[in-house]
Amino acid sequence: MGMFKQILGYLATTGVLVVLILGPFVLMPRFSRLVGELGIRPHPRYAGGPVVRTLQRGGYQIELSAPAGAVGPLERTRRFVQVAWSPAEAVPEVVDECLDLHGDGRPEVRLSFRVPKDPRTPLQGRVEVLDAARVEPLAELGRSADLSAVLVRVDQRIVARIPVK
Amino acid sequence: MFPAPPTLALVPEALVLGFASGSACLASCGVVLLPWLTGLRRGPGGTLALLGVYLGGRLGGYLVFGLGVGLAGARLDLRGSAGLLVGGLTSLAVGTMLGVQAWRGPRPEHGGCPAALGGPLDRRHGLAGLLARRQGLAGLALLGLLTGLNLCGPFVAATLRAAQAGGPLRAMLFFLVFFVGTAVWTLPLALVGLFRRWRALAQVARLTLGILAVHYTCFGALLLLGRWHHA
Amino acid sequence: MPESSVKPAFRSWPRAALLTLPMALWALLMMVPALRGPDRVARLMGLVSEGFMVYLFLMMVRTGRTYFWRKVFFVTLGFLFPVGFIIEMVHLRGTMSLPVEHVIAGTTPFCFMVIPMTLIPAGLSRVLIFPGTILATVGNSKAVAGMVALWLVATLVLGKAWCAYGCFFGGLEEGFASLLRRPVLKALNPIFRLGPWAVLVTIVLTSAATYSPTYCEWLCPFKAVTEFPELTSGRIVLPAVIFSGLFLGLVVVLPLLTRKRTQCAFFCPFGAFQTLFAPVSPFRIRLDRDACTGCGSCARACPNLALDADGIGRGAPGHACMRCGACVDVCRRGAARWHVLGTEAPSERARLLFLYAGWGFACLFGGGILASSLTHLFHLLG
Repeated sequence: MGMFKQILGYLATTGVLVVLILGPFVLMPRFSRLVGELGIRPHPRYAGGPVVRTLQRGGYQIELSAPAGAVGPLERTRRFVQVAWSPAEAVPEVVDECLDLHGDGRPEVRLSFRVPKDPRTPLQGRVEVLDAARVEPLAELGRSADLSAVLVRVDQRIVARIPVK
Repeated sequence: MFPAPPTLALVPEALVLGFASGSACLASCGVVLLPWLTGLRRGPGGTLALLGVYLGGRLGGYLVFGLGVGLAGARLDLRGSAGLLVGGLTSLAVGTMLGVQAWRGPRPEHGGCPAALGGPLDRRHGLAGLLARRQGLAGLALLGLLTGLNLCGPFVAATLRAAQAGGPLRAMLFFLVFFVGTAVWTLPLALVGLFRRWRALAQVARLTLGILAVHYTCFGALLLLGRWHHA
Repeated sequence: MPESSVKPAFRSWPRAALLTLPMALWALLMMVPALRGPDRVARLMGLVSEGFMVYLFLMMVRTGRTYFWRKVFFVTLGFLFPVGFIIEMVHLRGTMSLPVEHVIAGTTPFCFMVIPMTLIPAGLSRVLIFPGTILATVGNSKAVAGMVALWLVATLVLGKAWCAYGCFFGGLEEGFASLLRRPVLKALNPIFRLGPWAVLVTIVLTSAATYSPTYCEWLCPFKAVTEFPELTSGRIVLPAVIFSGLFLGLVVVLPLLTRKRTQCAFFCPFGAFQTLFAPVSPFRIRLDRDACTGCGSCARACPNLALDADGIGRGAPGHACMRCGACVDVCRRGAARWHVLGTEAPSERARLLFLYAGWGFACLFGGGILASSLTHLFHLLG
């Protein structure tokens, strides 16, 4: 038994060294791929909902996402619809859009904003709620800690999130 | 405006809503109940009994709330400043209770006996012991009441539906059945009694209550200040 | 002569060099990506960092002592990592704070501290409650999958020793703990050693309830030296006050006064989480009760309060043992020693086997961070 435990102990030590040597070259890429295959996705509070409709507008497009919001039992995330204009440099200087957030043919909000030439300048948008029964009251959109109501430039897109009921 | 449903139709609706809301219930009460019950170091049966006291307080809160909802009817709207006020006050109260329990609660490290001052298991004889036990049980019931008034989505949905039930008695019935549906989810928490002999676990539970006390107090303060952003 | 009464003698330089050779080859292998890169400064800093690691290993082997040389690396890592991180973030974003654009873009670097909080939401709803990307992209090399994979390998190799050879935060408090010669505060309530477990339970429960990383949002002291949400409202200022206070108290002031790693010993939930995986590693510290005189030097030397009278009586440190080697180095009787589970390997052999594994990981991970931080610093100053 004593010899058996010794062998096990040294085997475990060898195993640890093998894991270390294989780690950066074999194990880490494999583990990384495995984690990627688990089907876990960033919370929609951060990533926005899946894109469900794309509107073509000449040199750019508008992507409308499905309503996203709370997933967890006690989450207080407001439901919102993410709208993204891309590529940002092709978007005209003034944007004035009536947006059908739920895809039922009836626009719920009208969003207008200027796109500054300097991409670092914060965006500021004006919101007119056309259907108060379906959209939270909102007058302006801009940079905000509230992830359900923002208007910001993210990489090559201009992203607006409008809170809905 | 929806017509008030028949009384019997309320029962399955409330039960389904309650049962479907169980995860929210477990989340809201489990966070505080788990360390609270662990710190008391009773066996599974004793823990179940204490859980019963907690749920009793919760039921009382639900019934009183149901009465209020039934009287207020459609005028009641918990989304907005009223909700922030209720949420803020209950969170502050929960934070205070947790802090007191962490500070004065059963001290398992003193000889390992869970029947210490202020807990519902105080085995002292006479008036002092009786008062201490009642105080401890009352505290647990109050905790049930306060955590039950958590304005999560399902609770707000139940409130809206109960407001349409057609009167205070029917609203109370709705909340009674809703309570049954949610309470079922909390019963497994009695299993913490299986670990009663593990003293370190009870000490961790006390420290956890202290941290949660700070968390709930800060959260309640933010709600009351109305600065909570819906993230 | 019983092995327990003999301390390892100094090794000769040639013998030490020979034993260091495998580590030097490993460090060279770790440098290959940097050596192949276009940045001359990065190549140079890669050489400097890995050379530094090899030198420290050589000294550990030559002197037979672990703690001091490990501490030199660890404190250097603890102070250089935030420097490099802050420079990188300011370069990328223009600010140390985390703008909402980066939250939405998912380019927040994933920190290993988040792992315990993400498990229940990921298991129940397959969502990641962190503003990061799952797989690495051009804009975010510190994606979730890669960091989790790294953590898995680290856990298999180090177990709880991550806290002494991997964690890039612990060196800060270890540095502050080394400033005074004697502790000012000696009496610490032992119940607080369970603090990390309480914090772990709290953040796991609250994160599962609210589906948000409550430790990151409310408690992480190291936000003071890495990144934090933009301070745009009272809701965000309050956590900023909390984490700043925790950093000052637990990472700076208390370590200074107690000469202990108080944040690790009393607060860090990831340390408690790693303790769950401590049995994975076959490397242990043991106390020979026959050789022990009960002087308590080991307990006083332990930076993580893992040793007390109970542990000494039991012949093994508690769950907080990070395998830093402080107790072994300070024990004059050789009663505290390294041990490989199941074997009767002499202490020095067990120590060397552990160091090949543990220091090898330190070269892989910490050495890379040192190189990267030095490169950023050089570019900033140069």
